[in-house]
Amino acid sequence: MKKILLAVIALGFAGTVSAASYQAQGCGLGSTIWTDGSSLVHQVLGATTNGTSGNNTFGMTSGTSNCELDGAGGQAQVIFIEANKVALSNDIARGEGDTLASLTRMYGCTNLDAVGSVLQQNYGKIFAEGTTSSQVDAQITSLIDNSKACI
Amino acid sequence: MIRGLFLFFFSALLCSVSFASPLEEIVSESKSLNLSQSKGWKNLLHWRFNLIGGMEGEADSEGFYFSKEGKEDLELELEATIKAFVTTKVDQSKLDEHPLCRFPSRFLFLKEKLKSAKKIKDIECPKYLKFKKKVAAKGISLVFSSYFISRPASAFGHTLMRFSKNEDPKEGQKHELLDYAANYSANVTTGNAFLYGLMGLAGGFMGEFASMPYFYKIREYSDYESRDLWDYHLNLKPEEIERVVSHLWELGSTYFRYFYLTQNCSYHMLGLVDVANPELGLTDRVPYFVIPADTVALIAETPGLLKEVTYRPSKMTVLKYRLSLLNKEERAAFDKIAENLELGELDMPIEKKAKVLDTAIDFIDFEYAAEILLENSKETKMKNKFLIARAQLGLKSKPLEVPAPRDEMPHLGHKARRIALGVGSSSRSDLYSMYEYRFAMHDLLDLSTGQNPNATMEMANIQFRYDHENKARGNSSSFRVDEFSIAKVVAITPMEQYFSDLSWKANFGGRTIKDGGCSECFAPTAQIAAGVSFKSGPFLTYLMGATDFDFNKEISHRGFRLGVGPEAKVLLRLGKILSWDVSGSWRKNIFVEDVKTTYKYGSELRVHTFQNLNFGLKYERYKGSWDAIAKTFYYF
Repeated sequence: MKKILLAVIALGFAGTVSAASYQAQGCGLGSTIWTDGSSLVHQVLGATTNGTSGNNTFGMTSGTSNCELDGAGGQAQVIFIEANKVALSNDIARGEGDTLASLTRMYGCTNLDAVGSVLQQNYGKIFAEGTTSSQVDAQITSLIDNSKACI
Repeated sequence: MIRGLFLFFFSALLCSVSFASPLEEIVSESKSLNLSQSKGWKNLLHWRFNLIGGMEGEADSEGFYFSKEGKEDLELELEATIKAFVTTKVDQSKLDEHPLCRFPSRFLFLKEKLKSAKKIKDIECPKYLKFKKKVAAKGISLVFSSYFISRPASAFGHTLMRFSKNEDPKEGQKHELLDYAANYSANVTTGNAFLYGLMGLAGGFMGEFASMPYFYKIREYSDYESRDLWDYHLNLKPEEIERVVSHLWELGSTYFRYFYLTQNCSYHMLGLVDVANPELGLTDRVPYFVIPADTVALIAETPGLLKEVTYRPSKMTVLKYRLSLLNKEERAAFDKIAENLELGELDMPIEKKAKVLDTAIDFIDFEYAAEILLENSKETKMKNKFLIARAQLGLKSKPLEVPAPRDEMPHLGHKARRIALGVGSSSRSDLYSMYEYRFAMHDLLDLSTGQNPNATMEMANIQFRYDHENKARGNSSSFRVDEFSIAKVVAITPMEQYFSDLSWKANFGGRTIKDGGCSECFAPTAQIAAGVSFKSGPFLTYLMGATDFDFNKEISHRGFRLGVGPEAKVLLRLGKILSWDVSGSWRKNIFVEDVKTTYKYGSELRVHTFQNLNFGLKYERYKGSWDAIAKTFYYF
């Protein structure tokens, strides 16, 4: 438990760092987890949330600032990849898993088996060192298109 | 005169068939149906008892009410709502700010209840429609995130809401990463632990609803905090789901004062579910102090409300399960990898290689949860090598089905509050009786079904004792507090390879000193301990180093003592039958003049006769005194 606690605290620091360069970091977990208001980091570091209380004149407060899935034109996939990168890379390497299944659906495909095979075979290409989430998205899109795995 | 009367009746007659305006007609119909007093309307306004016993709307922002007196007056608020719906001009450039767009659930309610409400001109609300579309709810579940003992606010668990895009729970779980979640949490504005506690209890923080993609919650709870998730799928009709989603939209722009013990996350989740159907009455039935496990138990008890319970294992649970699937040869290969985190030559068939690598990947994620989130950390780079090697095998892993520990489903547990009555005998009194109350929630000897089985988590536990003839007090009878605890936590983490966290204990309260340190004086106390524990079959053993502070002028002239020393406990648990422990401790007392060393040993038995009715025996021997008692426990 203590280890997890430490991990969460460390994660919080990671989050603080990335928050400074929010644009660069985007919607990865490190940059969103600590703004949520329910994480330990919050209490330990005394960080505050976006401070939207009471100012919101209508509608729903989003717990994840700009990292919603309703972005236009392919943005949703990039956000999904960014936030789920760890689990997604695991799933693609294994050719199986619910993060991969959800991603497949996001790209409008139903053939999980075929998509899983294509992505697994091209793991190194998709997650080459230093690739950004939008590059991962572009790579996956072209792999799915070229292999016709979607059909 | 006659003409006047005639006119009066005539106009009265006219009024009943045609109104001067749609507004009057709708208001009049709502009055004739007494709609402002209906359960449905009360639910939309979160109309509940306040602290001084009156009733009012719980929402605390002015924007939630159209009438200035809306918080206190159901009828005025209903009229003002209708008026705002009917008379507010539609400005095409600010559609989203129109009352109909801000309060779609109230509009829905009026349309369902009043024939005349169809006269309200419907408008398109771009933002609300977008929200509804992205949530696309076909099902709703209440998600219980298991106990996270390292964090005070989550030690009792947490509940949030998930809007499933699939009707079928099993199918929905496969794609739950694409779902949306609603969470209610306090906007914590202080980093000071003391202020945090105080403000949390006294409603000093504002609580808000927020929605977010559900995957953020999975990554946070399930992956980084290693908390298992239990999904309570609700049996709701499409129109009931729409009521909840539209009401969530209304709640997004308001806030509530957050009270940790009463109007907390779980309470407000129930308030949201209540909107689905006025018959449910969940918030009316939940106990005044709301513990998350109570709320899922309430869901399960409500006839027809619970469809199914599904389970999502945490990353730690998954890793433990993967480890359990390895045979001797595979385990040896894994151990070698884990030891120096290097990908050596794996000389085994491809299926086995895949199995070992899959386990190693999860191990790195668990062990370096923070580091692997960073793009350029050495752990991320190292893990990438494992992933490439795994992908190159070209073999797909089989879906991992971690068996759900159905015994740990939180709604199955004993109730949180407990009273106990006991009759005993001790060295100071031939006969005494004991009266106990505990607010929450579980100790290691209570029935472990539905609980965190390796933890004690208690708040506000007080024990009164009546001695018929107290030898320590000149044979007169006495009634006093024997022991109380504001908070007590025992977190046992049995040591296993790769999971070697410390076990620890903390207790703050007061106790009667029975070890001769004073003449049975009562001392405020603070105790902390840490050590190791082991599990073997039904036995759980721990060994800890402890320090106790006891404060009383009778103990030493300094007014306190510090006790340092070891303590140990062996706990035997036979499922739903009984729990039994044997324990002992020894202390070297510092800052005292007389009693330099003290000890205590004893044994306690709890028989789980019924889920909420237990019987117990306890014997304790202290330096210079003894104590034995039989107790009956009732959980409610």
